[in-house]
Amino acid sequence: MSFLFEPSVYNEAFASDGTIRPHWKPFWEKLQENREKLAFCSEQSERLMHSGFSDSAEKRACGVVPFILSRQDFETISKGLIQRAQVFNAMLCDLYGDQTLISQGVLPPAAVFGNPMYFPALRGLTPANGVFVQEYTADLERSPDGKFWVVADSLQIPQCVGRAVKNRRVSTRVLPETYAAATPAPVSDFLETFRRHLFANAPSNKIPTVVLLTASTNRPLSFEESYFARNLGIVAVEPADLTVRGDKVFLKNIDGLKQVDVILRHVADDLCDPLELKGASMTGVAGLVHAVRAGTVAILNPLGTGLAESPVFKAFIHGICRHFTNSDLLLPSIAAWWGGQTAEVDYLIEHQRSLRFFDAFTGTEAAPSTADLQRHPERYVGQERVAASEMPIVRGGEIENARVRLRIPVVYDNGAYRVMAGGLAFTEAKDGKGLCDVWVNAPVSAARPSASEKNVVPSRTAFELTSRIADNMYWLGRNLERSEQLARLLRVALTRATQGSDFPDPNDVATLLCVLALEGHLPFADFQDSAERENALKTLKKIMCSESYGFGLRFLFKRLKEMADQLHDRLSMDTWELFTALAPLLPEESANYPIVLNRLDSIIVRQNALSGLIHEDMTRDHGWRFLEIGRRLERGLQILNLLSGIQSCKIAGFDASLESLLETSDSRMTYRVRYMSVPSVPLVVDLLVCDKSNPRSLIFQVKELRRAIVALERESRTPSLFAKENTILRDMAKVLEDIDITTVDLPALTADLRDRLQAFSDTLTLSCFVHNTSTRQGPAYNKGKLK
Amino acid sequence: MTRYHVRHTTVYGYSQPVTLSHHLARLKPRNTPFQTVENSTVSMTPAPAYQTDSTDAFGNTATFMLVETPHTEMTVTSDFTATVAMPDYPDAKNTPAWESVAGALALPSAPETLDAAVFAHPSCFVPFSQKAKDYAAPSFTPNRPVLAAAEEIMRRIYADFKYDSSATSIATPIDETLEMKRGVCQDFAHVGIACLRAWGIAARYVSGYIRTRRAAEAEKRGEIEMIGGDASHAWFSVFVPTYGWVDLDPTNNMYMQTEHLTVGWGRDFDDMSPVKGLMTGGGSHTVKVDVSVRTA
Repeated sequence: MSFLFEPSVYNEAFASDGTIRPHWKPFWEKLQENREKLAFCSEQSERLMHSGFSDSAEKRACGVVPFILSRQDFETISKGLIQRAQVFNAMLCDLYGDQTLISQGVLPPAAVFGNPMYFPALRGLTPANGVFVQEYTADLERSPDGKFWVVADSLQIPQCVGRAVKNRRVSTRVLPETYAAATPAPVSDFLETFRRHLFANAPSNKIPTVVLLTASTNRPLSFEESYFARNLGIVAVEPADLTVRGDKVFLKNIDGLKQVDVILRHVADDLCDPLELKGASMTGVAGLVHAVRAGTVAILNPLGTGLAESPVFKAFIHGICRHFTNSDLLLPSIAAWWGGQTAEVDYLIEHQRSLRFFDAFTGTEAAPSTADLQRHPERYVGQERVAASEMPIVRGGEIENARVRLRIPVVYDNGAYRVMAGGLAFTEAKDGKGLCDVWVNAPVSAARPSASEKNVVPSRTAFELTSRIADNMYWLGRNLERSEQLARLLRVALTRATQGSDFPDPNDVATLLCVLALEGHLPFADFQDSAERENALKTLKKIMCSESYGFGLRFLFKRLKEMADQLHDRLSMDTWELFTALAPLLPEESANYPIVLNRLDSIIVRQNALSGLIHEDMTRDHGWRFLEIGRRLERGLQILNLLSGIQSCKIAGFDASLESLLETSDSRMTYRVRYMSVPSVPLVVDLLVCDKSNPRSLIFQVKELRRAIVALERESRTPSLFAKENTILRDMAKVLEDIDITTVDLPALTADLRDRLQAFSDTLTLSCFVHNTSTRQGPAYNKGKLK
Repeated sequence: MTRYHVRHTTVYGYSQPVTLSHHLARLKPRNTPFQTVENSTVSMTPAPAYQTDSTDAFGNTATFMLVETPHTEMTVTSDFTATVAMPDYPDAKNTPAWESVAGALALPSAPETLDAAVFAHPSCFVPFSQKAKDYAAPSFTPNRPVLAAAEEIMRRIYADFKYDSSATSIATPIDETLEMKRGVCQDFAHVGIACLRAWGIAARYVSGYIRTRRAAEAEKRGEIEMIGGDASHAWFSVFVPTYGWVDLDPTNNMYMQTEHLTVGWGRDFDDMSPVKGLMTGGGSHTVKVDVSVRTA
């Protein structure tokens, strides 16, 4: 073994004499047999984990080598973490209750009353099931003597379970041979425990509505959040999706309000209720504390749990533990000193270089100067550092050592705490950070021969759609269609202007410019004049490339990307990636026409791929229906614009190039096959408006719209919610079917149809998206206008 | 003993309709050793879809209201009758030395000290201020009785600060008030609280009303009630062990009198904001406040 390790650091895999530790042996031997595959394994692991999550820690692929924990070490950690969860729970119950920790001198009052994480408004409130710490994760490091130390606790928004289960799936697939040899304890059942626990918290007996409350920062969901949303059968919502009516919390669904029973909370305490938890905050759900007080909703972890995360308590954890349990901590907690204690200020200043500093209350890492420590010592906690242990990792096919920290989740289940026999291991080597699975050697009896984990039990909970998501889906559809139509118009116009066409038409470019002008992209001008045309073409490039141009392609692609990010958990990875890939394809404004056209081709190919994915890949749920409604509505409006184009050309004194209009609406081939003649206005109107078999005709869009509305209506809990929309569409279909193309008054018809589509869009907004308006803080005023 | 009838009306006007709003009002006054409250009501137009009272962390009544009717004007009216007696204040000279009070608050073993200790620490609107500590320093001479120190701070604020309703807003930080030496009753109360807390003493913010001399004289002369002649008011209160809380009004340079009506108290304005609200819609807004305090 030519493996190098520092003797001053504990190595997880190797004893100090260089021999492999027994609990690593089965894995390590298999790994050696597969050594030539390691580079491939790393790559495969990257591929399996590949995702667009924003958080850099979440982007890390699962390492090939897992952290292997001996049964004995796991038992020690497990007992220690259960005790720690109990101590934190007792502490929170006390601080939001009788406060004996303060009155009996265990904690100085400043640690709590001067702590912005403490909310008097929550004092006396009973948390869900009387338990504050319902889920919890602890970070551990192993010192050179082999002891584990708790270095960090996450109580308010612990995130680990989802990623740990996902990592396990990757680690079992990358090197199945090693997994079979080592037979680690399973982790997926922990997710099931978590799910059971979540649903068991509902205040009433009926099947509960459970939501995952995430912060509204217009960001994609974190890995954990989107994993939960997909695998636990719960809806991911933002504060704006919830509303308090009376003393209950409701979800603003597309078909009205639905009572929420359990909230899995991923929002910090101070951002949960602007009425009771923070003076000037506007985010949150107004009245949430009121609902909790009334006992109609369970929040996990309960409001107030954030207090226990203040580093200041680390300095008192031993005393707190003795106060509640009459015994010492089973698992040592890393030493910490709080500057609020006179005797400890000197220690902090003396050891300033070797300690890690944190804001004593909020927990943000800090780097105070000596002067800061002298002036405001109570604001800081200094914490010792552990010389963390190392474990082998694979990098580029080679094995090297990296420092490691473990994160292990704990969940309250049916009266007791359960510790996951697994978790996450965060590695840190000289040239980068990594993440890997944690395997706990299972007792022989529990060993599983199968190389693959059983999948999580699929959720059967009803699909919910919030107004916000529906609104986003709708606009995603509209903007996608708008961008497609614009790209096609630009391509046809630019091709014909710069390269001519197989079917040249003296008015083709002028006609297309007219349509673009109708859509507001260009000022109207005499497009038959070649100088004006030249001018307009320059603008077209701008529409495509410029950042500053309001409704051009760059703008639309940017919006699409933002919306796709927000809908991350509802779109497949491939779909999301295609949305992301659009903007980078746009050329610089200085690019020449051939390059511009080349890029337009690539863009249109990807847009078509997107349409295909949306059509073939997406589940036909309500979300898809709103996307479809947005697309069909927009396509309908675009068709009407083409018809108006015919009229505008006539007003401008020339005949519209029907050929080029058919090309932009992708109907040229259809027309040729059908009529084998030069296009005429009545036949073009028939093809674009009345032809039911043309997927680019208006009547086709109206029928599809109606299909989506009927499906929504059928599954909605509110009767007749979509009745108006349905009527509008039915009447419109009737008008379209009755058109006589030989006598029709085109301008009047176009205007009438446009009004109907607009009425449909307005009605839909009223029925479904009206809940989705933002709230704001009401005015407050100064007291006392007299002396 | 004086008996008052109080009516406090706040009218909110909005340029755009408000379609939904949630409110938390702290308008119903509490009973105290010197104040007995009868017939306290809070009403609202448009009529709220839901209204309920609860007791907050400091024992005040908080009224939660929910309006679902779209509106461009909203009125909140609080009505009550209260009988106020003159408190019998301890002799400031004989109260415990401030150092011993600060010491007791740092290890609050007695229940009343524990309840007071929450008011000895920084809060949202009254963060720790070195300026306040320096300003208060001359009043905290060694072994000075705690009430004597607090009273002196009240008198110094009255002497050093100018009442100026245009100088500050609710968002003006304490340090800025201390710099400008201007503000309204709320700012003076916050400054007093910051001064006391900086030296380890518990001080709370008291929200209420005051019967003005002007209004009292008008009533005596038989003139009709002056709308808006009285106003909602605020002062601070200091914890004196064995006695309890002593209310000091730095705006009027006096201990609380029978002209003061208490609504409730908290750590600062944020805990006792008369009406907090979150609304959907609304556009720009105006607020009009009328308070009348009549002897009954």
